[in-house]
Amino acid sequence: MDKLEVKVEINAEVFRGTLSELERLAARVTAELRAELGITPVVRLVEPSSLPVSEGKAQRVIDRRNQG
Amino acid sequence: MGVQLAVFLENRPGKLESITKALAEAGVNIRGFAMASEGEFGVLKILADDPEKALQVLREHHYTVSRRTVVVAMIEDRPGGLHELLATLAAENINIEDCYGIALEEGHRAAVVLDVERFPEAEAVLKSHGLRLLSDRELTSL
Repeated sequence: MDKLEVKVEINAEVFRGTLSELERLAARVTAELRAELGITPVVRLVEPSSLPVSEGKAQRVIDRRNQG
Repeated sequence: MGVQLAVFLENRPGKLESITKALAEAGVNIRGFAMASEGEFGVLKILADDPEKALQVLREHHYTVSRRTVVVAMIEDRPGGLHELLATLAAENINIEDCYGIALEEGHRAAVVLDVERFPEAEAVLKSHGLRLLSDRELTSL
């Protein structure tokens, strides 16, 4: 079965310093994406600058369905 | 009250070390810390001797950092010392978001760092029960 993994960078605007708030944030992102897409993604919280920047040929969607 | 820094971290080998390295190189001393993790990520809480400098250093290293005011209460380092402090807050229905302890060098007392939801009220309640709370200045000179 296909899986969708979504990485979310945590910056100072959303970080209040507690684990419980991060858990709530991950749950909220999961719920909103599920409502929008109809599938339940795996949401991973990552550090800033973990994801490709928007300049150049940034690859933000990686399709691994044909990689076994 | 004191200033506590909280750092968001991915749960991977070497992450904590990279923070202690950055602070060590900047000459910042860590007076107390606590780490809580939830699977793939965690939050490192730090009491530093110079919180503003620590904040600046961590931001320069691109960490996500939050600055919170916490209560730092002195208790006696003996059986029941922590219980008396927590019973005081429980009696006033004050919830603790999290807490950790620091045993002091002198061996007779300990400091408890409390991250509470109702901060000013918690401070007032503890003071009214005769507990000594550390100021920012006292905290940095522990």
